[in-house]
Amino acid sequence: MVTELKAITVQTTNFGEIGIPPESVIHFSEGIPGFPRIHNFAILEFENIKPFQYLQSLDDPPIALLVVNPFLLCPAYRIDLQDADMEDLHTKNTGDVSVYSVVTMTADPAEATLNLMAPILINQKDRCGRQVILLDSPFRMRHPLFGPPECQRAENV
Amino acid sequence: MLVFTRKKGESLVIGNEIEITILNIGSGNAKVGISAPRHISVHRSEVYEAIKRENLAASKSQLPSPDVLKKLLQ
Repeated sequence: MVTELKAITVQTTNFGEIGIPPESVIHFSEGIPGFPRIHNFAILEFENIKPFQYLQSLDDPPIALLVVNPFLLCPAYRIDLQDADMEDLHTKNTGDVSVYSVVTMTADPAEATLNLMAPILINQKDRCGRQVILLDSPFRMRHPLFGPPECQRAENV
Repeated sequence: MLVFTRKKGESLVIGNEIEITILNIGSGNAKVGISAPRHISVHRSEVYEAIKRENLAASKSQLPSPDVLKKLLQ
């Protein structure tokens, strides 16, 4: 999956030591809420957890957030990107931007949730990202992950 | 925390690019205007805190085994 020669090595909690090629590093200039000092991440993919992926911190602490393409699990999902968000992502082309939603697993996996209110946006070309909070979003911060296929909306958090 | 007393219409400047103006003062609430560069995100703190808590919870959550996952996704 990676070329060992020029890889950055990161010690992950769940997958041991992993090599990350420098071109896979994604820079979050503001960090993300809760982790303002983590600026470098990478998306990790593993065949046996598809369609889920990990947003792995390459800085300390070596946290990892489980993420998923929200459009796969919630086809009605939509986000309106503000000019400022696009500016921060250094692009004018929404086609450059990948959208990920953070998954929160619970003791009972059936109750796991998906954060549709604060998607993580990554400019795949420039390798930069940020987590945006959607203002006045009808989509929830705790959308049931394994709920009915149609997207549920709610008025509040 | 720095504490300032401001009258209606007065403002504060943070750094070189952020200005916070007290637009109106009512009974029990204040209307605040913020001028900041577009790349500075401004949020109601309760919303920001909720997202922060959710990220922290997500970072501690464990993925179920691939078998369980497969079953749940069906």
